Amino acid sequence: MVADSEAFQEIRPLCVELSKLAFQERNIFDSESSQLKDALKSIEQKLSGFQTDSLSLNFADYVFVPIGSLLKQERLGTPQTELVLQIIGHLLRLCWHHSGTLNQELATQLFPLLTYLISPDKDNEKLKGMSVYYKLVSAQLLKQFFTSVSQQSYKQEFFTSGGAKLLPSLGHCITILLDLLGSVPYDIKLQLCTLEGLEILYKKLASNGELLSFVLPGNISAFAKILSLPGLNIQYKVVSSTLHIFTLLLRTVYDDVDLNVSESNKNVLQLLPETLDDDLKLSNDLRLIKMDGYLSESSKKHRDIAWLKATSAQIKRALNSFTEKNIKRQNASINMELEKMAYIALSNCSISLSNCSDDFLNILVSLKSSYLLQLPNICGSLREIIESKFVKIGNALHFDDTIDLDSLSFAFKILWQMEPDKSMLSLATTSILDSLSTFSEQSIQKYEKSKVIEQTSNVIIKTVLQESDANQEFLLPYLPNDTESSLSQLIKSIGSTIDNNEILDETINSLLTGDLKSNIQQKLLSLWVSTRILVGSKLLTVTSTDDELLDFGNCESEVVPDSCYSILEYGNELYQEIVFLTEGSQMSKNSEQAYAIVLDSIMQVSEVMNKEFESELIDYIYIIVDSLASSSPIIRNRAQVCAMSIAKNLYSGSIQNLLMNNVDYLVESISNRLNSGMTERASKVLMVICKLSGYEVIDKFKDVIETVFRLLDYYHGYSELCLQFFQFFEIIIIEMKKTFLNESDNSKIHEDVSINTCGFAPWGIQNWTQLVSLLDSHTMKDAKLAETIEVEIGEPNNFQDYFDQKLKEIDSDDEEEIEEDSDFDMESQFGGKEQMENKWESPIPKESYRILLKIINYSDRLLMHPSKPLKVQILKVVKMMLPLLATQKDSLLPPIAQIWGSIAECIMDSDFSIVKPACECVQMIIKHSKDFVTKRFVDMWQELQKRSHILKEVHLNNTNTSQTSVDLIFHQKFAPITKDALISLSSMLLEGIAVSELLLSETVVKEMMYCCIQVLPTDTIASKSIYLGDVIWDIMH
Amino acid sequence: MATKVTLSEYTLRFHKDAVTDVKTVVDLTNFKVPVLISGDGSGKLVIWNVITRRVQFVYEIPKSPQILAIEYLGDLLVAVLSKDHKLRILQLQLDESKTLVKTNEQSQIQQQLYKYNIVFEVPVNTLNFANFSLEKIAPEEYRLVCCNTQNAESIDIYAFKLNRLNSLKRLNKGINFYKTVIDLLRNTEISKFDKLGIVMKFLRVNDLVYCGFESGIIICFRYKLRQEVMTTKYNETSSKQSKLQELIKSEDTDISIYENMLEIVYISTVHYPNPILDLSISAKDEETVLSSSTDSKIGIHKAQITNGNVSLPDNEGYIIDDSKQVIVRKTLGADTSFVEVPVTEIGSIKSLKCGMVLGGWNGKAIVVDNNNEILKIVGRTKSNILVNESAIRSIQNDSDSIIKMKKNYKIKAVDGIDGVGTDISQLSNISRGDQRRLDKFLSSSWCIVGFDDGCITLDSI
Repeated sequence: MVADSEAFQEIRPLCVELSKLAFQERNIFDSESSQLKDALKSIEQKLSGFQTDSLSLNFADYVFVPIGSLLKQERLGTPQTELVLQIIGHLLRLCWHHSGTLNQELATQLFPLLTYLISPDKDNEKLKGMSVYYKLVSAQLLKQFFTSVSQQSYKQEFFTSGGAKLLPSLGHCITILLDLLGSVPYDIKLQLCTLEGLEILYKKLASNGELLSFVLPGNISAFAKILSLPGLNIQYKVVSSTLHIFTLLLRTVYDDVDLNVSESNKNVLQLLPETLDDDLKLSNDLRLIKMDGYLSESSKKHRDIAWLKATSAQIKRALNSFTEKNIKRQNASINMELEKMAYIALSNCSISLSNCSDDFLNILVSLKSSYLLQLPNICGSLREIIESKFVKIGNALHFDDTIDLDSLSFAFKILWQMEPDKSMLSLATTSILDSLSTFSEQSIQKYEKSKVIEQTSNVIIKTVLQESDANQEFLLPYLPNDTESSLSQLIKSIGSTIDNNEILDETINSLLTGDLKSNIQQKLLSLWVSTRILVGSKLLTVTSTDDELLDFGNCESEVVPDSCYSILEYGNELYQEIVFLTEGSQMSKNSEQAYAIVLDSIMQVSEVMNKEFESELIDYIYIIVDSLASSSPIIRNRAQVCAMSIAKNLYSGSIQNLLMNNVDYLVESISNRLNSGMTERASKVLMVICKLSGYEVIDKFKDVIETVFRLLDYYHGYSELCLQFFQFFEIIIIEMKKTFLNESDNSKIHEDVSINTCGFAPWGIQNWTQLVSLLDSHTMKDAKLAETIEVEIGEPNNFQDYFDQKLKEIDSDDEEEIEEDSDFDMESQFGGKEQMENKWESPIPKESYRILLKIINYSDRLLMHPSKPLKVQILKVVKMMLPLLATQKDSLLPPIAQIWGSIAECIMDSDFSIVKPACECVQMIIKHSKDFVTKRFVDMWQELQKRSHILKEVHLNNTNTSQTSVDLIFHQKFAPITKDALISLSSMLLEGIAVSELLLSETVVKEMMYCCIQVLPTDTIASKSIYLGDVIWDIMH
Repeated sequence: MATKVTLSEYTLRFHKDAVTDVKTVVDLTNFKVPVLISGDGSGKLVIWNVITRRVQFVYEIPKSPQILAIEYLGDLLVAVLSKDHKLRILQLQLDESKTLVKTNEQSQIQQQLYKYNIVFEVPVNTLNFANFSLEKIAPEEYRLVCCNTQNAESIDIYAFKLNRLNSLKRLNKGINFYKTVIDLLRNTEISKFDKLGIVMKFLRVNDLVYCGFESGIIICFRYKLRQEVMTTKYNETSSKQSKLQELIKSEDTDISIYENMLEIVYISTVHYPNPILDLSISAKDEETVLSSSTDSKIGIHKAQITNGNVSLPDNEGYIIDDSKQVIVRKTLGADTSFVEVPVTEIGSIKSLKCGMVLGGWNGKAIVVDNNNEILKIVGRTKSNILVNESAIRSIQNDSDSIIKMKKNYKIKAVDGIDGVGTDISQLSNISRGDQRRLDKFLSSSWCIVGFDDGCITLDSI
């Protein structure tokens, strides 16, 4: 009360001031004077400063006196009215807020007054022209008024008591509010305020269905207008509040109990002949509705059947105008209101608004509302909705309507829980498949043209099992990813409803056998859809509750559904079909997709089958491994995921085990490919297998390698084929090295390689470790040298024998097959073997060593091949295998003697890209066979001087007569390829000099040095040995 | 490019030594799947699931002797003859525990689907190429025909009961058919041969046993039990038996000589003088036997049995040899029926409904159809380049260093499975994938060849 008196003190002078003006005679009174405005304004400002809500009624009376007098004036200017409205609003807030402070009489007087003040005309024309601020003030005032009334004890009867004399004002007031709500430009604050006012009104003051039914149509159309506005123009809070009130209205007006309606199927028609009008479609099918008490009650009742018919149609129209749009906004609070609306309508007004029940259900479906489960008797309608959604699923695909797909999958599950229905299953699956294939046909053309990335075998081998692409799920390139995942989810939900293998098999079989004539694209989609159904159906068993899991889990997981096999078989056939179609031609986007889908289906099924899949690997492992060697990275990725998944399920994650355990099947498939001449695929797959599972695997199919050799016998003319096989040999050698040579050997070999590639040992050292290992290797080399000297005591013998053997080999080549009793043969072999075994030192088993010997033999032969890439590859392979062959010294020498000539010939080649690897190769030979090749090396140098193209590059003036006058010309600028070749040549020469120093005349060494110093720094050469140092010094000075 | 270089449809790789015998068994009640039993040069007996083409069972004969012959006796009984002069009979039993067995070489771990039990073993002369013949004469009781312990030109006959080692009885010892046969063929063109040579092959057809000899003669005999003769002696009711009585009296008074007698019911000289290399029961007529030799003939043999019961020698009609163990009807002539095939040196033969599989010495197995047209050739060739990993070897043994170029791996044994068309009975407890593979396998005929590199190939015909 302290505040009260203080406030009174403060307001009094202002009121006095206003009174002076307010009580003026009508003829003097200037309704638009600024004086009046100022007076009002100062009161308004003062009042707005008060924060309390419990000022005394006296205070209100005091303030209201001048206001009342003011209101008695004929008219009032707009700003003044605005202020008056604000002041009244303040009074309502400050004094008339609490229960009992606003007596009914005052309120009853005040309400028409306020509505009139805000908008004197019924059509609110004037109001519409007012400023937003004015409108806001009006809205706030009405809201404040309703708030205050709602605190009073008479709130319920406020509008109905007293002979309904307030009803016209109420009507007007509501139109005002609705007009404010819809007034342009939209103002959020105004709209929200309006809505709050309406809410209080409908909820607390006029929550009477009969009463509200009169204002309902206006409300509905106003709300519908707001709700159907584009999302850009209307704020979500406004929408959700509007929806809230919309719901409130529906609930109040159409409440089944309140209306006393019940479902009936007879008689009503006779009573209401007018139901046959055009609006029938929108309105209730009134045959089903009976309004009890309609006849007995007084005719005063507004909400009769006719009314119901008319208004329910309007509701439906309104709903149709805004629901879809608002669902698409995907706004949480809007969705919540929509959901509530639908749920409330369905649970309270399901009979009276039965014409709209589909719409409401649709809303719940679209919003994936769990309310669906709480509603009784919606099965039929829900089914219809789902059916029509399935029929129109093509649209969803076209417009990427993931919401629609998601909600459909939700609804399907709900329906299934309520009422499992097999016919629904087939409808669902066939309509999905149909629309998907129609859709894909329409959009496939675009994708057909886009190019598939194809990679070479080198890339394939390098990257196999390295890439990891998270984007694995998507298989249908013509669908956006989220649409595909929604669709996939939908199909899985459909699948998840199937808890019985028989139905599952039936469903999948009907999908797969649907149309036998269909094209590949359709078949792929059938496969895709059925795979997802299968996966879905098995998800249920995993995610169902514990009890169910106990029931089903034990018996069901044991039995692999037939459909697993159907899908696998279908996929396999499809795969063969695609292979047949794509064989020999470039891979198209379509076939790429096809492979991916088949691989996916294998993976999914394997996951469902789990351990049972192991016995199926016999048929499917090749598809996977073949795809691992695909030139398309997409297919490779997919295959990789598939392989990993299978390895996880069956071989505790080891892909190597997966391959090793099934290498027999792989080899069979490869054999088949080799038989039918698909050597390219076969060699690639062999490479991948070898790379993935290591050398061990070679042991298991030596006869296939033998076949590869035989193919080389027959088709050595085809450079491509030979090249592929030599690439395969490269992998074999790498893997053999990994398997049989231990770590230290490995590092040694690695280091050797680096010497070769960098030209000269200390050059190209890139880090400390390399230097250390280099130093180590020097000491090792010394030790080795001592060893070898010992070992090679018998060398001259070997040499002689080598020639003997060579001669005999030639003889034996011509020999025809000799038949002989195998038993004797075998025994003699045994004898021989035992003798040899004592001498075997190499860590590489003889069998494997023999493969190397064969490779080097074929290398020798095929070096005559004109193909340059093949030559380069062969030289690379030979270089790589020399350290391996060197592990058995004696056996190394014959092949070296044999191949020397061919390689030396390559050094003479005019193509320097061949010269380079050839030189590296010879360097490697010298390194490993030491003085065995001394003579050859010396001879080769002479040949080189005569015929070599590369030496011509350095213009060595071979004028032996005037040694001293040789002009040393430095050719600083070589083409990169020439320079590389020269570096290799020089390194080779240095290596050769190292082993044959004593056999070379100084002249020859000098000649060699002329070549070397062109590309290698003299210091480096000089540091190689004292002798070379002398030679270099001699040349330079 | 369809190539001359082809690999077989399926290759079974497990043996590290030459495959010496292959036998397919389609006994779905016991084995669930068609299986292949193979033996190799180092004593490994392997049972394959031909559908999965995986090893199901490995048995290693101690000390790794070469396996000579394998016979499946039904009811999971496998008889195997090996170079350690032993015939073993293994009783297999499904082993649910699926023990993992480490086979000695290369530490290969093998899952064993079966347990085994050696239910009988008997020493058999294996210094030759012959196999053996086993006939079930009573439950768990078998009669064995094999080469004589000292001389492979004659045969011994034993009887034994399974699981009872001391039940072995020698019924006949060292029967040599030469004298009987030379008597019989005295007046024919080929009467000049001085011996039959060693037995090359036995083949039992019901109660008849065919023996193929080195000389190319094929003799078919059947076994006469002693009791039958004894009954004849004491029971004189039938007129026919009384004839025997007369015979006995007139020829020899010692009645015991007639126990365990062999009656030669068929002789073929079609391959003479080339050795018999293999015998096979005709798939079209189970009483007909086919034979192969080094020539291009496939002999066709069908013993004409006039009387399924005891056929007794009479004075005029029969020749009895000195050992009193062999009789033969005097009127029995030598058969020479054969068909000509486009290959020679057929080391092994298997008759199928759709034709024949002929394993040649040249390392090529030929499948001919019923008109002797070649349907398929199976072989495993080596690459043209042969390498020798050891330079030293050639120093020590010059003659060895001549590398013999054999283009093909040798064939040691062939077998085949007839396709059974589409009406295959559904097996229970089999996954649909397995069923499909089984159906697919059985829907075509297969030619199975064992090579001396340890591989067994399967090719559909």
